[in-house]
Amino acid sequence: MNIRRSKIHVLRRKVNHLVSGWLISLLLIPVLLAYDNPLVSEIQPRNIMFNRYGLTLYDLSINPALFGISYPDNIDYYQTRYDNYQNTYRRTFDPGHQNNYEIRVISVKHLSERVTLLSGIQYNRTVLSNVYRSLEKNFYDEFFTICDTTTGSTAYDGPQVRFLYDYALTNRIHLACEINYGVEEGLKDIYTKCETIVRNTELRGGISFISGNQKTVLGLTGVFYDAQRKYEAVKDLQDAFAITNFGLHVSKAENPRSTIRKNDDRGGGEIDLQMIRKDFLWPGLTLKITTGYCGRSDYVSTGSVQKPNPRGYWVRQVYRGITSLIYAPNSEKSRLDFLYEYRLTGDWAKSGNHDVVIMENKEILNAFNLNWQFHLLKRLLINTGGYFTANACDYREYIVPFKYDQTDNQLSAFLNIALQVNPILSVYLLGDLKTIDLYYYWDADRATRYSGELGLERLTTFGRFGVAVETSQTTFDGTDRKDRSIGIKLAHWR
Amino acid sequence: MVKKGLIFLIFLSLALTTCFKDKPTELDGTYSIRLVLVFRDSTLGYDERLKNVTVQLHTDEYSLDDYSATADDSGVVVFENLAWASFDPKVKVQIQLPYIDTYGVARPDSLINYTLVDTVVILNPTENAMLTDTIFTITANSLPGLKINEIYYTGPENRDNWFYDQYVELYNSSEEVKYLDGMIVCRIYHMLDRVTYAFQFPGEPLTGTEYPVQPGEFVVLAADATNWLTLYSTSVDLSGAAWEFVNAMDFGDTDDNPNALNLHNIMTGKTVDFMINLSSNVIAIADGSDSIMTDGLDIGTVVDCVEYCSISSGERTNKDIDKILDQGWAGIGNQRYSGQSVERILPGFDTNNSFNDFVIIKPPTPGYQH
Repeated sequence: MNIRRSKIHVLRRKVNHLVSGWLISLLLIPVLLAYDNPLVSEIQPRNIMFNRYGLTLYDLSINPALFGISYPDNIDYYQTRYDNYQNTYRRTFDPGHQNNYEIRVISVKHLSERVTLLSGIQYNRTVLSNVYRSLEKNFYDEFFTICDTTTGSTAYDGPQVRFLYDYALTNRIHLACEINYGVEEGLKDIYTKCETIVRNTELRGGISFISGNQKTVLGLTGVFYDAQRKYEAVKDLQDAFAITNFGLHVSKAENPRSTIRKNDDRGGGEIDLQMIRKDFLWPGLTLKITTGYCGRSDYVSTGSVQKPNPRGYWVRQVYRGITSLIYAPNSEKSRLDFLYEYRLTGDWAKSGNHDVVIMENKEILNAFNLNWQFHLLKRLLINTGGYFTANACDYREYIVPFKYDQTDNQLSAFLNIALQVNPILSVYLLGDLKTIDLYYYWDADRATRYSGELGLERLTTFGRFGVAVETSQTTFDGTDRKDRSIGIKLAHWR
Repeated sequence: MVKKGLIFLIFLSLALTTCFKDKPTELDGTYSIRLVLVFRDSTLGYDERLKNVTVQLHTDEYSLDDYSATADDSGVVVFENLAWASFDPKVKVQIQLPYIDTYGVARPDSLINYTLVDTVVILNPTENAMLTDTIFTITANSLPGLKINEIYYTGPENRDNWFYDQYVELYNSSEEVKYLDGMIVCRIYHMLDRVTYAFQFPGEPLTGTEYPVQPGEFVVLAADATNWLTLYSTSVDLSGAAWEFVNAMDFGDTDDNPNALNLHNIMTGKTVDFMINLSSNVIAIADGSDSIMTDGLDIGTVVDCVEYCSISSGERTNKDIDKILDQGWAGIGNQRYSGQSVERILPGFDTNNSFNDFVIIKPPTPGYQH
C-alpha cells in the first residue's frame, strides 16, 4: 500500500470540494512567524472552515512532521494582497492609518512517497502612518519600548523565507524540520529617523508516530527561537529625544546623545506533544489534542554594543492545551467541530540595574469554538457557529504601583456561505460579528466588530484564480468614532 | 514506551524552564530609605540635627517625580515604597542658628541665617530593601549671582587629540536679571596676574543692559558654536550656543555662526581662539571694569572663578588661584578626551570650593543641568 496515502486515509476529511483550494492560505499562517514570533500562534481564523483540509493538526501544533499527512496534495500557491486600516479611534501609540502590502509564493511538493517539501518566500511592506511617538511596530505587545517625541510614519520592509522537509523514516514514523527566517528593516520618515532592523530565526524539529491500525497519531515538536532587534534613532532636533518605557506608566528619558540605540535580544524554545485519535468513542468522531510549553526571554539594553546600558530582562512562559473534537459521520455532507483551548501565560520582568521584579502578568485564557458545516443545497455550503473566550488577567507593575485584574471576554458569531455557480465558478460570503472587552489601555470598555468578505474563484486551464474583498468596521462604546478596514487579495494556485 | 516518552518530555520541559535567569525575590516599589540630616561644621562649631527639613529624592533611572518627605524632630526622614533605584537626595534649607563664639559658646541672642545644602551626590541601593545613611549638609552662603556653572574642557572621545568643542556655561542663580555687557571671560595660568586669554562681551561694563540673563537662565559660551556631532558622535552640539569666542587675529578660524553673538579677544598679541587646558586651568568671569590684562586681573572685579584639575588634591598642594576665590579643585580624576565636563551639583550652587560644588558628568549638558 502506498505509505503516504495510507496515512492520509487516516486523517483526511473529504468534507467538500465545492470551494476546494480557496482559503488554502490557512496553511500559510506560520509564515508570519518569521518577523515577530508571538510565541504562541493564534488559531485564527476560527470561523473559516472552507479550507478543504480543515483545521489540521499541523495548523494547531505546527509540528512539521505532521505536515505531509495534513496536506497530502502538491500545491503551488501565489498570492498578493493589500489591506488598509483607518484607525479613527485608537490607543495612544497606534497608527492613524496603516497599509499592508504582501506577496507570497508557496510550493508544496511530495517528492516521493517518503519526502514532502515545502518552500516559500514572502515579502511584506507595512506602513504605519501618523504614529504618535512610538518607535515600535507593535507597541502594546512589548513591555520595554522606545519612543521619541515626534509624530511620524514608519515603513517596514523585508522578506521572509520558509523551508519544511518532512521525511517518512518508516511506515509509521515521520521526521521533519522547518526553518523560518525573516529580516525586516523599518525607517521613520522624520527625526529621529529611527531605523529598525529585525532578524528572526525559528527552527522546528518534529517527529510523528502512526499506530498500526492507523487510527492514532502521536507527535512531538521542539522549537528553537532566536531573534534580534536593533533600533537606532538619531537626535537632530533639540526636541527629538528618545525615551525608554517600562510598561505604560514609567519611562526614562535617554541621554540626548547623537545616536540612541536599543537592542532587543530574544531567545526561547518550545516543546509540544500532539495526538489524534480517529473514531474516538464512536465512528466519525475524531479527537485531536495538542499540549505544550514554550518560553522566551528578552534582554533589552540601550547604548552601543560595546557599552550597553541594561534596561531590563523579560521572561514569558506559556502552557497551552488544545482539544478538538470533530464529528463527521458523513463527512461529505456535514461536520460538527468543537475546539477548546486553555492557555496559561506568565510574564515577569526584572530591572536592568537591580535584581528586582518590576512587572508580573498572569493570564488564563479559556476559549471555546463551535461550528457546524453542512450542505443546505447540493451547491450551497453553509458554515455557521460561534466562539467565546474568557481571558482572566492579573497584570501588575511595581515601579509605580499599577494593577489590572479583570476578566475580558470575547463573543463571536459567524455565518459563511459558499455557492458553486457552475462547475468552474464559485462565490462565497463570510460574515462575522464580534464583541470584545477591551484591555485597560483602551479608553473604552467594549468594541463591536462587524466584518465581511466576498470572494469568487474560477477554474481555468492554468489553475484556479481567486479574488476577494474583505471589509470590517469596529465601533466602540461611548464614542461615535469607528475604525474601518478594507482589503483585497488576488490568488492563483493549482 | 509511552512512559519513557513522558519522562523525557517532563525532563525537556524542566530543562527549558531553567534556560532563563532566576526570577528575583524582591519586588520593585518596596524600597525604603532612612536618612539622618546633620549640619556639622568644625570651623563654625556646629553639630546639629536638622528638624522639619524637607528632603527630596531624585533619580535619573526613571522619569519620576521627585519623592518628598520631611524630617521629624530628631532629624530623621523616612521614605517608603520607593522605586528600587539610585537616588540623589536634595536638601536646600534656610535656617537660623545661634552664633558660636571663639570659645565655643552659643549666643542665642545672636542668630545667623544659613543656607544649607547636602553634599551627597548619590545613594546607591543596597541588596536588602532598606538603606540608612546620614546626610551631611554644608553652608552655601556665597551670594547668588552669575556663576560659571559648567566647564567642558576635556574634548570628546577621539584618537585625534581633538578638543575644539570646549565651552563654558554660565548660570544666573540670583532672583534678578544680570547683564553680560562688557564682562570678561579669562583663562588664568597662575594667580590673577597671569592671564592667558581674555575675551570680552560687547556692551558697556557695569551699566550696559543690552545682554540680559534672566534668573535661572543658562548661557553657553562656545569656543565655536557648531554642531560638533557631525564631526565626532561623542562630541556636543553647540550650534544652539548663545555666544562664541572670536579672535580676529586667528585667521585659521573662519567659522562664524551668525546665530551666536561674539566675544572678542582683548589681549594684543594673542592669535588663537579661546582654548583651555585639558587637565587643569582657572576660568574666571569678571565684570569688565578692568580690561587691561597686562597687569593681571583686579580681584575686585571677579564675579566667579573656578579652578579645575585632574590630579587629586593629595598629589597637589599648590593652588593656581587665591583661596578666597576657590578653595578646591573641580574635576579631580577627569581625563583628557573623555567627553566629560564638570558641572555644579545644583544650578549655581557655590560654596567657593569647587571640590564640593562640582561633579564630573557625561555627556556634557550645554544649556541645561544634568
